[in-house]
Amino acid sequence: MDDRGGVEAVLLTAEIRESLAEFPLLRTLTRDNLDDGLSRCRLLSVPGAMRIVQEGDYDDTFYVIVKGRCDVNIEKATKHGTVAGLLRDKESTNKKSRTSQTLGSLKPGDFFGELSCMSPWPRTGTVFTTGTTVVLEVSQAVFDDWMDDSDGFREIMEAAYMQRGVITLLRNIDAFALLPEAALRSLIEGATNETFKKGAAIVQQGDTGDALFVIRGGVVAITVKVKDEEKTVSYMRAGSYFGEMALLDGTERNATVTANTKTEVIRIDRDKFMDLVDSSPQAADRLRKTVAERLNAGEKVLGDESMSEALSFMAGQGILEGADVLVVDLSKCIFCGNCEEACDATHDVSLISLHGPSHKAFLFPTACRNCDDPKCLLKCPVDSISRDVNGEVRIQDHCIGCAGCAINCPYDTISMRPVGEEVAARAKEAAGIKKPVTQQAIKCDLCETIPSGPQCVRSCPTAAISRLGPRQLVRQVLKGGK
Amino acid sequence: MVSTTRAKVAAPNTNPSAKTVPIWGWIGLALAALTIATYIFADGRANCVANGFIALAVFTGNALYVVRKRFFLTKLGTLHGWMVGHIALGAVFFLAVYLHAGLTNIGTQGWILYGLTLAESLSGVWGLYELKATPRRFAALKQDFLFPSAIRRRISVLRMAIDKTVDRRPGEFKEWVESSFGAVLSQTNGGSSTVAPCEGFPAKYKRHANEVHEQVTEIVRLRGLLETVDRLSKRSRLWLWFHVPVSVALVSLISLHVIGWLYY
Repeated sequence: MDDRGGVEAVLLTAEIRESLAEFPLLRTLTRDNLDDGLSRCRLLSVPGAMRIVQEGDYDDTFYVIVKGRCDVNIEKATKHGTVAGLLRDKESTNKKSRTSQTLGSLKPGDFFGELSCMSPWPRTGTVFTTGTTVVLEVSQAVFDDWMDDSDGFREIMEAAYMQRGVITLLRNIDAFALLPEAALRSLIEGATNETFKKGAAIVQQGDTGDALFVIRGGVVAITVKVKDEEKTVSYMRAGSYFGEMALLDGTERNATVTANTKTEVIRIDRDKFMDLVDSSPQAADRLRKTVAERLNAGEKVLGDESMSEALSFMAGQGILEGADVLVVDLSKCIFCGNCEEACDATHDVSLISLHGPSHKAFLFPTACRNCDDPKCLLKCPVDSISRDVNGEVRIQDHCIGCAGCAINCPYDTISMRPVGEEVAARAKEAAGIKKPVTQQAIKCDLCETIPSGPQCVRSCPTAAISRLGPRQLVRQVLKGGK
Repeated sequence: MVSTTRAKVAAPNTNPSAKTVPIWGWIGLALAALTIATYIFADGRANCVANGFIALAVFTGNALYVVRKRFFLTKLGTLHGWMVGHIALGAVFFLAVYLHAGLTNIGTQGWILYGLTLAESLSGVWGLYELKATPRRFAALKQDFLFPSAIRRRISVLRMAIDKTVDRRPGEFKEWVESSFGAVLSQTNGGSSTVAPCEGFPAKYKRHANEVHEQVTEIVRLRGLLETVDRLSKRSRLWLWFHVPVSVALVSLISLHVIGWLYY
């Protein structure tokens, strides 16, 4: 019996294995690959209506429906963030509440969860069982093996990644949200998936507009050249789109878009986009409204040197990449050290280092930013550092202290601390290594186990220290920069 | 993994104390209005007793700030909220004591108590000034490192880096480092503000010698900065050397005053 609300693990009998082998998706695998993978999978029986995956979670499990049905919902736009959005929010308090939208129903043989397995980005939809359902739970490791071993499996996944990923993204964009499925499918015909390294220009000011780009993951900065000087006018996060202005007006690109971190975009062909604009006046109107908003916001930023400077600083320092950033307002800080004392009292060691880049009165101490694409997760020999469903990076007790994560972290937020014999012995045993463990990696965990939240924030007598999400962060820094 | 329950999402903490200032402002005003109303509408003795109790309650509430400050893992509000409350109640305390005593026929003990209340309130005003002035003093330093702990951590990292460089080179390099910078490196705090020039090192280790020289120079700069920062911190906390002893004296005398009133 599984401990999660009546979910039961079902024995994978030879008979079930045979029937699984008949699914079109799993037929693409050789029998050996399938059997090897299944030996590492779990078959789960879900008794009634229950959520299997949640939109916005960082989770990397793939599922195949064996029996029953599942509904796929999208609830909200994930991590949209633009300066235009911020200015609009500021001007209007009538925030639109998006209701949950059912994208479709999945039947036995269908699968879900591949988008998160194939990218570092969070879940794009919520999947519910609608009655008694049996699903095959496939771990990331097995999924990766199947992708490597079978061309057929990989082709199906890549096609699904394009189709589902893009359609889900488009559904989250106001202009496309109400379009019929057929129109969206037609729009993405011939669309390609492109990945850009940090610093690469996706769109160059002055170029001819030939495509619309939808950001699948990462952060981009939008800059405009004014008198030989590049000025940052906005930024965009996953779920947003750019490139529509040149297409709608038939003019050249009016800004440069640069990947601020590793960024994945869906490139939609100009002709397909224009077909959609011609056939759907409603979508065209919404797009034009967005263009007007963005131009207006861009002008506001360009007209205010401090706003442009603040955005350039945040983009340059990688601060926009963070999902949750520690900020000290130096105009309020009285340097009492209470934040560090609180951290020390809570974790037996102070995990925050009050040093880092600063802009005007704001200091960004080197606390973990829980990046969209965390470099620290790479190459941990014992998988002791991982990201949880909320996107928070965590270090497990079996860390062997190799310091790889600390070296890979571009923001210097992970440090090493010596450990006692008992902890070292436990880590050594759990990791199954022979070398003695003398130190372990530590980092700020946002006081996740403390119900009242981050103690450094709560223990500041002048409210100088706060943890901010990207939108609040930009709003506060722009406000402070004025 | 099947997630049947949605895990708690760490909500970005914009400013947990954003509403605290107006709330405490209103509470302070309400209490002030209460003390004034008592003074106007109650007769002499009733006013004296009522405002005395208000002053005592407010003083006790204010003293709890010290407890909250050291009690980190509490759900009882943010420290900033307590700080704002401390200031608001401090102002009410001064008013309540004034209206309670009336400053006529209060005797020696009364005058001492009133003098201490005045001193306490003035030190509070000094504290308020420090809340505004301290950030400006530190900002005027225009330094990349401002927090003592961060400076100390950086110095320790630089020391480790020098040790690592020295350990990987032969003895002659170590001897050169010892003779050139040993005296500076052996000092833990303060010490010499000058660093010997980078010369006389074994020729083939020029790059490493320059590296060590730069690191030692940075350590010396940071030590100097640490002294400045420590001095500024001490200056910013000077008012506490006045505020806290006066508070302790007030607690003692108020206790005596209340006991005296109850028994005699």
